[in-house]
Amino acid sequence: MKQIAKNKYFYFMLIPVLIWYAVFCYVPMYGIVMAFQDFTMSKGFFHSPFVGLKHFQALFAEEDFWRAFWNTIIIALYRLATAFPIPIIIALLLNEVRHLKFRKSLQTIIYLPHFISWVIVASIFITFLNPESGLIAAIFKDDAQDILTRPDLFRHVLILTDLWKEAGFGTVIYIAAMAGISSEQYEAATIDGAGRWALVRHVTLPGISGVILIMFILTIGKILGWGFDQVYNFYNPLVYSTGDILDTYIFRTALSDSKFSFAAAAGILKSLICVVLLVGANRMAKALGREGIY
Amino acid sequence: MSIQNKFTWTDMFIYFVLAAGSLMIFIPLWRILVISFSAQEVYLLDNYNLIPKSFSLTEYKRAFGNIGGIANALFNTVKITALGTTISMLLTSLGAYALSKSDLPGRNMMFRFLIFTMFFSGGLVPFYVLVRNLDFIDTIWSLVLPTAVSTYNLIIMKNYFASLPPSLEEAAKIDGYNDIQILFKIIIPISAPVFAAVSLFYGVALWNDYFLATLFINSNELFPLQVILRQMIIQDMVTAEVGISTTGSNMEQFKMACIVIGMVPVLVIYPFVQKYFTKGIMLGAVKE
Repeated sequence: MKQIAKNKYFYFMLIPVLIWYAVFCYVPMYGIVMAFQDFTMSKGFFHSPFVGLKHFQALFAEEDFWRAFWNTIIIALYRLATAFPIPIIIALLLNEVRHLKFRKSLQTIIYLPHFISWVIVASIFITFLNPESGLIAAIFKDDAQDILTRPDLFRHVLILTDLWKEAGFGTVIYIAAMAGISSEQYEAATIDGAGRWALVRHVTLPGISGVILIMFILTIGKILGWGFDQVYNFYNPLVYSTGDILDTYIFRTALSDSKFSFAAAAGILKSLICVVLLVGANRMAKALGREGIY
Repeated sequence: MSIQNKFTWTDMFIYFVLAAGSLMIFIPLWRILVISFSAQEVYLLDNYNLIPKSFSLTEYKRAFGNIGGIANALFNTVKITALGTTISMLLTSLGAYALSKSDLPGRNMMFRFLIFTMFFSGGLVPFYVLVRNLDFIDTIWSLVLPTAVSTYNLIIMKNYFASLPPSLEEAAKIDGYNDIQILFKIIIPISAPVFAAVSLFYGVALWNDYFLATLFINSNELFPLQVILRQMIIQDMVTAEVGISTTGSNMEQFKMACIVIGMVPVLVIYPFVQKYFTKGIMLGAVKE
């Protein structure tokens, strides 16, 4: 009790932020009940009638849901294979650049797109890829195709633009980790006769492996929610077959069609899969004898 | 760090790859700038140039001449960013400072209460319903309150505060300051790097937001810039629908000018804050 009185100012400081979390994070968690209700706005979370699993059954019978589900998985795996390793490779390359000025300018440029909104990035690429007036029209003249309406190319567009925007900034965390490796390790390895590649393999990589693992677990945990902003700004009905993901599907059904309970049911499935993936990845890390994230 | 100083073929290859990569990022952005500043006659004759051959502010004058259109949207965005960043920084720094005290009774429990939200959430629909029930629809509150705290930023600040030497606070205690005074008079003034970096993250997120506005704002005159850009370019709405008159301008160039306006603050502020990134974004972070 005395401890609490002594720290009373700290508790005052915490009140606003705890209230914020309770209202904006935990109330929506309670709101999950609406997936089991015939929810109407006028009755709210607390008074709408319960209907059991009705909305889940409807969801599983919906072809568009399964299409969005599989698209989400495929795009997530494609991203995992590209957006996860490429920043590590760029960071390793940057680490080899010895001219500090050159290195700083490179960093300034490659971090930059991270701070530009997806609306603007999509605007830029949509303008450039316009088959009538864009850069693509200049190169291919009359053979120019509208790449953004081709379902077979849409996922590649997503991956490439994502790399353009985020791969550079993704290096920050690894560069920070590399800065923490002591120079003595490099010196010792050099005295032992290690060449450049040996230094990367035996000193730099092991030095950042902990961060790589944590980033991997975090990536797995958010993998299904990855990319709403991007897909939403790039896609159009012509590419729904390969580009519609769970988040965009939920967004459309909830807001355009006002099927609140139905969309909430889809949201729960997504959250559940995310939690399972995260716990799984964390277990795996611990099984490998490494520290997980919790 | 490498000991040898010879510039080898390997170096050459590495430099080439990195330079090529950054050019790929730079060229599209540069193109947009060039297009937006070109004089119309020159642009229409020869529109794939990287070297500017003319300079004109026509499209920018038009963009800012549109009272009710771009200028108004820009004003809304500035307002949202300023108010939102202030609220976010206030909530986050207060919470982060208290949570940086490892001997605070109940701290671990409260910290877990926050961390849990990074991995589990109610999802979009309950979130939307909540904001509606709070009567925030069509007000600025729907854009600045529901996402005011980012747990990730809070952890970055908490770690920074925890790394400060406790002797400072002890000295202030002896001078009779209470913990709130210590935070505002001692801690905040010496924490400029983390305040700069985290304010930038919050500010950029608010500046770039279109999603909350799409969800919660219905009236044209309250739209932020990103929503207007989205309608104009991505949804290809005619400018009259969006409330912008573009008589006499080249649409393409006008759009590019608006894109530039949407990027400028980021382009201007970000390089000054960049030096704090490597220090600020420590990941060890999420653990505890």
